[in-house]
Amino acid sequence: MEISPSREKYHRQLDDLKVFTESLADQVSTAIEQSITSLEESNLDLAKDVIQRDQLVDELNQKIEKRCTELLVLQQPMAKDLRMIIGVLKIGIDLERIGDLAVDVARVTIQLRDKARIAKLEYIPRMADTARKMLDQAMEALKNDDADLARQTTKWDYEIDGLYVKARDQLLKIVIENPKFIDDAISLLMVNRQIERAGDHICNICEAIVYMVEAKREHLN
Amino acid sequence: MSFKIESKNLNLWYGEKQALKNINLGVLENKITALIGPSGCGKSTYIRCLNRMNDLIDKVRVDGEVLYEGTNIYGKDVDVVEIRKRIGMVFQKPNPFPMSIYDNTAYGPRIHGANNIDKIVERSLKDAALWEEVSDRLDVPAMGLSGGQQQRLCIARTLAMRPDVILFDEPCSALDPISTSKIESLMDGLKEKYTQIIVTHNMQQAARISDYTAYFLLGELIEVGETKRLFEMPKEKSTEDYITGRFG
Repeated sequence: MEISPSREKYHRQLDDLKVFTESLADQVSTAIEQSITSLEESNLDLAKDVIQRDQLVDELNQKIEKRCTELLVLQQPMAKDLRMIIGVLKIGIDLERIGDLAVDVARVTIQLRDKARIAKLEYIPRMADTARKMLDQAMEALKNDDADLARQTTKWDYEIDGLYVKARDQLLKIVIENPKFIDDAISLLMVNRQIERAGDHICNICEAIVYMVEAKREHLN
Repeated sequence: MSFKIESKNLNLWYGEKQALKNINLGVLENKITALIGPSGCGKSTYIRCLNRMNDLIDKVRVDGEVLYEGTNIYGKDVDVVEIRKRIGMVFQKPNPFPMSIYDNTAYGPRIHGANNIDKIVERSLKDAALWEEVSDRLDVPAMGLSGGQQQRLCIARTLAMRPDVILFDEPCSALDPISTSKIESLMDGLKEKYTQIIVTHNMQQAARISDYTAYFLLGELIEVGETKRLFEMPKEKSTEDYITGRFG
């Protein structure tokens, strides 16, 4: 039996969803990297760039949502096609949220401007690196329909959580010793929290990939 | 788990051509079971085996068993008329007799010598969700009804015989979406009293109305399971290829 041309077009559109999602993840990963760099280097231009480019993240996510809605309405997908559309919609929401978290970090860069840092940023950049590694690996899992890789990816979140606690304790210690740094410490605690949250969102993405591949609803976070 | 109707090692040949290959399928009581699959896969042939409608076709040979409440309907001394009374059928194209709405509904009970025909007609038309639309014109020709009404009349005619099982062979394929929706609602309402099996090409319809779905391909039963599981995560690649529009 042959596939009709209209179904071929439909399957191409489904494949495109993965490509769009990978592209969205690339943009979000860059946003995390640049927001942290902007904070480390007090680079206001880079921070503003992150904030401006978040619009592109939102637009691409809207494009994915629109394509998913069209496919749901016009093609009535079933089985793995339906799971893929549901998964891509969920992943888009999490990626868009990670983009917003990067914007929050960039705003802290602007807020702190050229003030001297109360401490060398040691743990937070490592958390961001780990989050980006997780995101890369999650996209690899998405590309190859690899549920086990998605599951493995979530293990990195323990590392992020460990670093989060260390960074939080370091900042609290500074505030206890020097209460005048409280405002800056609160800003950096927020950054710490946002990167930790990014790890949680990537775990959600991995859960969506497991659902797409195996139709299992697992809590991996 | 006991089945209302069950086929065991069922094979069927049209002359030399084997149309059903070793079908083992059980249907649960008061559930709707949908049969899906591409044209020529054997699903209509299969439901016609369940009330021996294939007996009417030349050069058909059936091998294996169809158990209705544990009794093989292909066994010796089985009253085929009684079987078809217990296991009714609704066809793809509405096929009312060229007579009034009342006479269509009363036809079966009359030839079986039933009493209280008025009550049977009223109850059957009510169960088929048609009574309110036709109760003031039971004597008009059934052929004047719309396609959807004619199909519900055919269902009423089947219900008038008080069957246990109703077989639907693509009952909505000639109907518009509103009439289709009425038939689907009707089937949902009939679940309380009847076991229903529906052949449909419309996978959304199978997903909407059935409790269990069986997928046929080239005369074989490939997969059967709970509808919500089968349409979300089919076990067989062939099933997934079919329901997602990929073949081969």
